[in-house]
Amino acid sequence: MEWTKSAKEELDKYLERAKPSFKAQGADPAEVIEDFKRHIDEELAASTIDIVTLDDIKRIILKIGFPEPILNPPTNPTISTPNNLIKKGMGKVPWVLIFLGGILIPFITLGIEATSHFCAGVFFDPIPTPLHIALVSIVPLSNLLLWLSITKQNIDHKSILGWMNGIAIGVSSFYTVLYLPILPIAFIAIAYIGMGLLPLAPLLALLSAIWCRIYLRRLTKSTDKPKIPGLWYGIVAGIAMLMIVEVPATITRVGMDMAVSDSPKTQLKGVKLLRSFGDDDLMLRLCYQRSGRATDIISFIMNSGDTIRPDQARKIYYRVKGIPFNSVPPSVLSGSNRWEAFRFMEFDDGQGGESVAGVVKGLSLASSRIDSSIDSDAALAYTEWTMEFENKSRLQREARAQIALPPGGVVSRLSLWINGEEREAAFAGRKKVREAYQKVVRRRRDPVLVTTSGPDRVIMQCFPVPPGGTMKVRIGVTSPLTISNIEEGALRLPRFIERNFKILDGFNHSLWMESKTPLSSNIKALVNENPENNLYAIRGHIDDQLLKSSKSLITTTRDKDTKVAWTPDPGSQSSYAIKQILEEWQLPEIGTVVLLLDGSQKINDYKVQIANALKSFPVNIKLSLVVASDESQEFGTFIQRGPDQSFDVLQNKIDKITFVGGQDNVPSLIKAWDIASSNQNSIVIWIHGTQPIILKSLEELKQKWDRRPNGPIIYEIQTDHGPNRIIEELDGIYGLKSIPRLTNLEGDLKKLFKRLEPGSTEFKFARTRVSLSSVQGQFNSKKTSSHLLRLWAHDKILKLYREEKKRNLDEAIQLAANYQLVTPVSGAVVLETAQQYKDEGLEPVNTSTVPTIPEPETWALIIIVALIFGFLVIKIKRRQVCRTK
Amino acid sequence: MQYTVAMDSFDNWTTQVRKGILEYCILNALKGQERYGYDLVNTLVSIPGLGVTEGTIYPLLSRLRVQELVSTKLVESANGPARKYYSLTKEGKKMLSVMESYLDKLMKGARSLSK
Repeated sequence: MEWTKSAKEELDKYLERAKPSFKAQGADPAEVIEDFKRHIDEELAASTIDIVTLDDIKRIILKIGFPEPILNPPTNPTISTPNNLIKKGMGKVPWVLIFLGGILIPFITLGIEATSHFCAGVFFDPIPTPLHIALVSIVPLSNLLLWLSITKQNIDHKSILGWMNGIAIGVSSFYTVLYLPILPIAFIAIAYIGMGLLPLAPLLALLSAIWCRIYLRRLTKSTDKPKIPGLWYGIVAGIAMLMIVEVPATITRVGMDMAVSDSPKTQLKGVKLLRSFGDDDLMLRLCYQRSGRATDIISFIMNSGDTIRPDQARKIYYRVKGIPFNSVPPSVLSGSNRWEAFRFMEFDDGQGGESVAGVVKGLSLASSRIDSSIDSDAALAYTEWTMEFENKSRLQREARAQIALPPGGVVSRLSLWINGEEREAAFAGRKKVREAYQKVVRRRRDPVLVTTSGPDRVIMQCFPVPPGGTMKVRIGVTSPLTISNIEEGALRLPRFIERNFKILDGFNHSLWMESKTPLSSNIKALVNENPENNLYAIRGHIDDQLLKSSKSLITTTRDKDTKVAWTPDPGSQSSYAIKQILEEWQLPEIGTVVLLLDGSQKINDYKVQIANALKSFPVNIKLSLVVASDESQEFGTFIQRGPDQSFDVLQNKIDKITFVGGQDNVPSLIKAWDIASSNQNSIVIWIHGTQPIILKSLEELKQKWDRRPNGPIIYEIQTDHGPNRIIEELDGIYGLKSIPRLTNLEGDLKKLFKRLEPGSTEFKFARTRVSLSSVQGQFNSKKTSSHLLRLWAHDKILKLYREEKKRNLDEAIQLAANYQLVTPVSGAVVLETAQQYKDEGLEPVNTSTVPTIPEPETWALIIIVALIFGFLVIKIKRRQVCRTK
Repeated sequence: MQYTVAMDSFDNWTTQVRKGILEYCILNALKGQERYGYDLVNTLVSIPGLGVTEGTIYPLLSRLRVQELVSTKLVESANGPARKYYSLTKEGKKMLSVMESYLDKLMKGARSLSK
C-alpha cells in the first residue's frame, strides 16, 4: 500500500499535535503513536484502497478523533500517595519497626560484630574480610535511603534505590539463611532473658527491605515511569558479590575437605589445591579453637554440621605452608588484632597438655636473663635462664615453651617464685612429675614442669600466670662445651624453639657469661669485659631472633694440655670421683651415605648452601639421594666422585627438586634407613626443616632401631628454627644423632662431611667413675665443679634408657632423681606446698645441693675470704685492746 | 430552552460518567481473555452510550500498561501488521475487582435512595 506525501504529512501533523495530550494523560507517547499507526494500518487493510491519499487520512483521523482528556492528573483508587499510605496506615506499615529492624538493629549488629567478633568467636565469622563488611553495610544503608525517600516522597533516584534494594535483599537473604540455625537460640534468649535481637538482624533487615520495595513501587506507580529496576538482577548481584568475595574461602574449604579425605590421592589433590589457591588467613583461623563453620554458600552447604577440626587444620596448614601454624601471628584485620577481641573468653586448648599448641592471648615474656658460667678447661658450662611471664588477659594462663638446650645439655635445676620466694623442684620419673603437675593445674595452683622433648630439647610449662600478674621461673642447664678444636670450646645458648606466648617487638634477652678464660662472640651487641685477673665476662642485650640464630655462640679459649677433669663423687662416700677425659677419637670408616633431603618449601632457601657444601663431600664415598616430597622421591643409585670430579649430576638433581609446602619426612626416613642398612658402613644424613605435626606413625622406624640397635645411624641437621615432632618422638634413641648448629648450614655440613673422610677424628668426652686417689694431684688434670657429676649421670641414664630393661629404667629414674636431672626418663616439677609434694610422693631438692651462679666453689672462696677478713679484724681489735691495757 | 439546558446538563453528566467508567470498561473487556488493540478499541467504540473514540482509548491503554494493570505482547499476523495483544496483569485483576465492588456498592447506595 502506498501513501501519498500529503497523507503522510497529515498523519504526522496530527500525531505531533496530539503528543502533549498523550503525555499529559500519563501514557507513553511513543507507544501511543505506534498504536495509532498500527490502528490506521488495520483500518486501511480492511478497506480495498491501494493508495492512501490525504482524504483517506483525514477521514480516518476524523473517525479516531482527538484524544479526550480522561483524567488529568491521573489518579487511581488503589494507588494512593505515600502520605496517604502513612497517614491512613494502609497496609498497616510499621514505619518505626522498619526503621528499627531494617536500619538501626542491622547497623548496631554490624558495629558490634566488627569490633567484638562475638559471633565469630562463638558460632562462625559472618564478616571475615573488609569486603564482607562493605557488602553487609549496603543492607541498612539501602533501607535507610529508601525509608527517607518514601517518607519524603522523593523518588528522584529510584533507579539507584531500586538496585541498592535488590542487592540488599540478596545479601540479607543470604545472611538470613546463614543465621537460620541459631535463630531458635535467639528466640529463646528473647523470650527468657529479653536479649538476642542481634541474630535476628538479617531477617529483620530482609523483611524491611521487601517492605520498602513494595511501598516504593506503590509510590512510583502513579508516575510516568513506575517501573523500579534492579530487583532480580540486584538480588543476583548481591549474592554474586558475596560469592566472589568468598571464592578464596570456598576454594580453601573445598581444598581442606579434600585434604582430610580418607583417600591419600584426594588428600594430595586437596593439599595441592590449597598450595595454589588456599586462603592463608582462613587456614590459620581454622587452626585455632573455633566452630569452623563456613560463611560461603558452597562450603556452608557442603559441610553443614561437619567442620574441620583444629588438629586437622593444623596438619593441613603444615602440609600447605611448610611452617607450624603457631609460628605466625594469628590473623590480623585492618591493623587491629582480631583475636585480641577474644582475649577474655578464648580457651587455651593446649593447657596441661604435652605440646606447646597455639599462641594464647594476653600472655607475653616480660623479662628474660641468661647467665652462664663457663669452665673452659673442664669443657663444661652451667647456664641459668630466668624468665618472667606476664598475663594481660582476665583468664589464668599456662606458659609453655619448647627450649633447645646447648648440645649435650641437661636440665639440672628448676625453680619457681611463689609469693616472692624461690622454690626448688622435685626430680622424679617423667610420668610421676607430669601427673603431679596436671593434678595441680586442675586445682589451679602454682606448678612448673620440665620434661624432655627430643635430644637437647625440653618442654617447660608453668601455671597459672595470674590475670594481670606475672610468674617467674628459672631453668638451670649443665652442658659440655662443643670442642671442634682442642684450644677452643663453644657454648650455644639455650633458645625457644616453640612457644605459646608473645615476645613483643623491642624485647631483649639480657645475657651475662663469665669464665676464667677469655670469651668471644660474633654478636656485636655483646661487650667483652675483664673486671679482674682470671675473670672474663661477655654481656649485653640481644633480641629473640639473634638468640635463635647460630650467632648465639660464645667461644672461649682453653688450655690444650688440660684433657682431664675430675670432681669428687659425694654419693660414693668421698672415695670415688668422676673423671672426664677429652679424647680425639678416630671415626669409623664410612662406605656409603644416604642423603635425605626434606622437600619442604623452607629448604629451598638452603639449596645453594647444600650444593656448595656438597662440593666438599669426600671423594670415594658413595652418595645416594632421597627426597621427602609429596610422592617420596628416591633417586636411589649411588654416585661417587673421583678426586677431580664434581657432583654436577647430584647438584642438577637438587636444582630440579620442587621444594613445596610441608613434607612428611617419616616415609623417606624409613626408605633412607632401608637403603643405608643394605650397605656396609652406611649412614644417613638427614637435612630437614621443622615438622610440627606427625603425619605418619613412627612405629615402623622405631621398630628398625629396636630390632637392629646397631643399624645405620641417622645424623639429623635442622635448617630452620622450630619444632620437629619426629625428633621429639625419637627422644633417647641412640641411632639418631643431632648435628650441633654452630655456623650456617653450609659450614656445619662441611664440618660434617669432613668428619666422614677416612682417618678423620673428633673430640669426645669419656666420663667414668674412678677412685679419688687416681685423679687427685694428677698432672694436667683439673678439678672442676659438681656439674661434671651431672654430665656423667646424664650419660649413664641415657645408656640405661637405651637398653630399655625394666630394671634399668628404674635405676635410670633413681639416678636422675639423685642427680636432679631432666632426662627422657625423668622430669622436674615445682609444686606450691609441702603437702602437695607429700601427696604426690615427691621431695623437693635440698637448696644446698642445687647449682648456682657463681658456682659453689666461687661462693666457698668468697665465704673463706670473708671469714679470713673477719678473723683479721677481730685479731687486730684484740691487739689494740691488749696495748691499751 | 429548558429542554436545551436539561440536555446540556445530561451531556455533562454522561461525560463525567463515561470518563469515570472507561477504565473499568477496558479492564472488564480484558477480563478472562486477551485481545488485540484494534479489536478491543472497536469493541469499546461500539458500546452504545459510551461515546468514546479510538483517539481517547489508545493513550488510556498506554497508561494502564505503564501502571502495570495491563500487559502487552506483539504477535505477527498473516492478515496485516503485527497485532498488539492486551491482557490483565495480577494488579489489573485486583483493580478490576476493587472497581466492581465499588460500583456495586455505589449503585446499590444510589438506588436505595429512591425507596
